[in-house]
Amino acid sequence: MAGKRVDWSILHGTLLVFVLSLAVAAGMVSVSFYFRQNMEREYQANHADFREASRKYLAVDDEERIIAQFLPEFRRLYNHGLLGRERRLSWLETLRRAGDADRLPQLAYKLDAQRVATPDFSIALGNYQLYTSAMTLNLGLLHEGDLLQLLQVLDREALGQYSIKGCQLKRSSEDIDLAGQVANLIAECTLDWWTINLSGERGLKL
Amino acid sequence: MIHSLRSIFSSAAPRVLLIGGDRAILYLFDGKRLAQAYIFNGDDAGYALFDRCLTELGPAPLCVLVDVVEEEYRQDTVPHVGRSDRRAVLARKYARLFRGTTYHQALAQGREGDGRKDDRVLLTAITRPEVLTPWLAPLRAHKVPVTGIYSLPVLSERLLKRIGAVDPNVLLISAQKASGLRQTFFRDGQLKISRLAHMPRLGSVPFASYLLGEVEKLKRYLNSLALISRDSPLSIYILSHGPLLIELAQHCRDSDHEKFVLLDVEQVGARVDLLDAGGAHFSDVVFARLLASEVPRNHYAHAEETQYYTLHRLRIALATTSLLLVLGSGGWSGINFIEGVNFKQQALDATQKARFYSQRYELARAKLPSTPVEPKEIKTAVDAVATLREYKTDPARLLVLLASVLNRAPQVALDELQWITSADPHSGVAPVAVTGGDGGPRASAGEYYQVAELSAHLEPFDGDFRKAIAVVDGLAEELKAQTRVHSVKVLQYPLDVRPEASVSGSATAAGARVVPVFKIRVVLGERDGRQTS
Repeated sequence: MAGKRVDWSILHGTLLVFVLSLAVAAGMVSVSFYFRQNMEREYQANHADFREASRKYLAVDDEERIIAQFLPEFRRLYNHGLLGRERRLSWLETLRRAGDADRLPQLAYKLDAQRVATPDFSIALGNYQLYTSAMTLNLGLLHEGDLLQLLQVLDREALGQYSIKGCQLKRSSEDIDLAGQVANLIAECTLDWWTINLSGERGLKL
Repeated sequence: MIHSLRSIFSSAAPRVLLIGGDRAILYLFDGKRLAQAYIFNGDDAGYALFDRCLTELGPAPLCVLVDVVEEEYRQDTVPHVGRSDRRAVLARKYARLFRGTTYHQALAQGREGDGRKDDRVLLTAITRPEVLTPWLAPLRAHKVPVTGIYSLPVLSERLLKRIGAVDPNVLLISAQKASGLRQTFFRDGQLKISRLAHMPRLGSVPFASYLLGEVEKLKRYLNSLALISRDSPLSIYILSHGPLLIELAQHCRDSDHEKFVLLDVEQVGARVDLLDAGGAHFSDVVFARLLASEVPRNHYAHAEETQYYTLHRLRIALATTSLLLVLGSGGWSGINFIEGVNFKQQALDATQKARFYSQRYELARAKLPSTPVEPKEIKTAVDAVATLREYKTDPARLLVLLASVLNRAPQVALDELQWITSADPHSGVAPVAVTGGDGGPRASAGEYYQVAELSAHLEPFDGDFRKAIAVVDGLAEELKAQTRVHSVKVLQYPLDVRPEASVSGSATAAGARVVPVFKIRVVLGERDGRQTS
């Protein structure tokens, strides 16, 4: 059938009906699909709320047990400077006391600004952030025992937790003079003072 | 609109226009029953009436059935070739045999048994198209969807099985009001020749004698063409009704060469699903019904003559598609809507349950002491501090270990000690980078180390390097023997005796004083990768 001979007027009405049907079908499908999607999304959100609420309710007993078991330790750690804000003043005061007590010929420190730490070991922090302040100690020692004693004082009295990343001990003279005021050993140690706190502005407060 | 849709989706049998030599009859069926028949004479008045009738009836599918004297039949053969070649061969034959007409067709009737085994064909044509033109023009003007133009003799081949005419030689005789007395000869069920004779007015001549006379003429013609199989008699099937049938029964006598089968038009009508053939001896309506009940492939019509039927089918397809679209989308939308309502209901239920559990939780939580953070975060913090303590390192262990070993080697004087902690046992002891750098190895169970390099010299030294090296090796072995020592390596001996090293000094006892310096690297593995506090 040659195209020019085709009498398309026969199809006008049907084509119109077809186009209308197509539009109606597309409209119905779109609207119903959109409606269903919205309702499903609402259901998913509400169902998630329900699951969270029921989970929390069922976990009340666990929470009670956790509070009883861990809250005292949590408070103690907070008061000892491992949780919450770091206690720089305590560190420095402890250093000064230890230096005076041990009569160290030399005790100099350098404390860097606190920053977020990425430790080289696995640690589960949840909503917390691990912070660290690097401290470099330059010490003049009569013998290596002075270093160990200083560290013990820091362990015992400073509010916080540190870990020594590295130390360099060097003999400063040929002869060892244990009675004098001159340092026989020069030590340079790097410490990380760890603090765990909530991230961002909301700091941990008791 | 409803009327239009009803007409579109109507599955009623198509109308049939039977065109004869001097009149045409339009048959309208209502199911299996003839609803109406309009007779139009082949003159101006008849054409005008036909045109008016089409106007009033409106367009509906229509089959044009032709029973005219001007239809010719030629048996021929064509080479067994491909479709396009066959079309070209047939076009040449049409041009040669049926000049001046475009209404022709070729019916395949098997192949020759020998030679090239050509295809046997029966070529038929309406040699005078003018007999159709007055009827076809109004159809086109009224945009009637014509399914095709069909030949009554060709169509009658389909009647044979319905009436049980399966003999090798069959002569089918029927009288049509629109045309006349049609005699069609079939050999082995295939149309071979057909002849239309004038049908005298009833009562003007003895019908049986006239009919048998016409049969005799055709028999002579068939014999001249040697079309009748000699092995079987000629079976003559005559369709008639009432007194004429009785009259025929009295005159038709079977013989060895011919056998008469007289059929009542009413009964034949019943075999083509026609409930009422009209009680006449004419068979027009039987053939019309035969055509309408199962419309065959078009015989003669050109594409432009069936264009409205093509468009009609396209309309049906479009309308069907539209209906399916609406129904399908309606069904799908309905399911979506129901599912959406279900989701809404479930969402409301979930909200109520969430509210219920939240209230219960708040009541239960109110009885617990207030905490700065969620209880689970309390535990997380405590556990995290415990982890920090486990990884807390200091050089005390190494210093104690060195002191215990060096106490047993008084000739060794320690000059310098560099110590670091690392997850990498192969780490150097260069000044420690600030914690927090990424990219280095991470500690896990059994993988945390203290790495130390100690520089020392032997004092006093008598110049015996062999002995000095032995002391250093002994010191290394003793360090290795200590618990938690991962590895020990001598980095520098008092004297470098490796072949690739350059060595200089004084070999005499009075030479310059030599200091036998050496370096040892010691790696301690932490217990379970962690250090207890």
